[in-house]
Amino acid sequence: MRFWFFFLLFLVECVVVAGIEIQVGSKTIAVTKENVFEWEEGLIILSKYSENLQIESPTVGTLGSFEYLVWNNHTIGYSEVSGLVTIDGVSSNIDQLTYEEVLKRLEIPYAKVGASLILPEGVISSVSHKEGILEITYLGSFEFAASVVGEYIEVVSLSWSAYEDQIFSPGEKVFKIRVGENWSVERTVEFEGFARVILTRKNYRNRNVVLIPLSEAATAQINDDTIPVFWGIGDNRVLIRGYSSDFEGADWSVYAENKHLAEKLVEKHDLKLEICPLIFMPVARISFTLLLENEDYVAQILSSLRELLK
Amino acid sequence: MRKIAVFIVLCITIFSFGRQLTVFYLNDELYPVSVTYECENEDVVVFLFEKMSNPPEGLTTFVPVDVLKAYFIVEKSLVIDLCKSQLAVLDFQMERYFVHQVLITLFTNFSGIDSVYFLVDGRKRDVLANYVDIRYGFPRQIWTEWPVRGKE
Repeated sequence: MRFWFFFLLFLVECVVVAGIEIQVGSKTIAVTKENVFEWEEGLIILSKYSENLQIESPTVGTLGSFEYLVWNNHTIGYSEVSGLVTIDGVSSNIDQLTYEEVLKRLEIPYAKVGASLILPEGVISSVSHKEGILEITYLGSFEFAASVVGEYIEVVSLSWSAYEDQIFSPGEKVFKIRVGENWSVERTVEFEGFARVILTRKNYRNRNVVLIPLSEAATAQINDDTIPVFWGIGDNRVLIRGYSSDFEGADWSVYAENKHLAEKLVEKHDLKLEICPLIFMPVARISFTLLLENEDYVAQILSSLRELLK
Repeated sequence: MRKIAVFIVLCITIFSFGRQLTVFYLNDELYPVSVTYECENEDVVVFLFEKMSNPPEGLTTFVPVDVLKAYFIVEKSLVIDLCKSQLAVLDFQMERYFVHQVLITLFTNFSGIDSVYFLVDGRKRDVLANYVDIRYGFPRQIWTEWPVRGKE
């Protein structure tokens, strides 16, 4: 019995006394002598982590013998005299406060691998998907790859990363979003803190052409498998979207095909062609807006379009 | 990056003295008509918007008076901040032609600008007034020519 008591005590001692390595991804930012929080060392770790994520570094200050830091809406105070560390109002004895506990209280996602605590290199802040475009805002570096698997776009972590307070190892799936059939990733465009994954339809030909009155354009539910044609009264013209340099060429092929089809309609039906990005026309997808003097023209133009799409 | 922006701003300021500028208006058929002005004003963008909103006799414009709030340049992009209350008067056709008129005028006069972005009241918005999508940049390649083609 006494043996087990001392053995357990030894193990606990080992855990606390043994140093740990703290990494951001594969990069070591600190090797601690013990697995207990140390004020100066903790400050360096937080500063390096902030630098890596390109967020504000901790702000430090002193009140008498009390030192404090403010970081990412958290406050940590330390009194060398009492040996107490206070994180967001909860005090602990510094000799008993492990780095893991500190990370948990500061809401920093981490993974424990052997004697290492691994922090993420990239943190996804938000994700949105609309009209074949997946937008990801992130902190740090963009360590993700997107691909379409079946009806879903899947985002995989290329390094250690985090999303919704969870940490993901390299190769692990971070999230997936249903996009429907026949999509593929055309391109991923990265900006600082923001990435745009552009999807395109593998094949748009032989798809249904759907006519939508302009009065219903704002609320229309456009099926992924259709080519929307919006129409309203006007001076006999067809409008298409242009491309944008924001997509770094990923929308060129759709624009070229859209323009080619529009030019054929213009030629055949003696229309004008206007290039203008109207909000209801989906991005990076074939679509048209017809402004016609006479409602009877609509059926003729749709018939021509269907022929062209065969 | 900042140096390039400063350089472009300097260029705009320097070249603004005694520079000939081309402003596009519309005729009765809504086709573009260019008019050349000698710019004495030191702020070319402000000058262009002032001229665009005051067409010569016989020509028309869809650029309202005092629609420009501010502008700035980021690398090779020109960001134009517009006044929402002035845009409220634009209907579907006017809104489209406002965009065409402004873009062709800006791209014609600033050869170093590759794209134009619009803000409304200092904020990034989805639409200019009601219809034109301004979430993404407008590229020079499309608006160096008038983007309406076909029968006169």
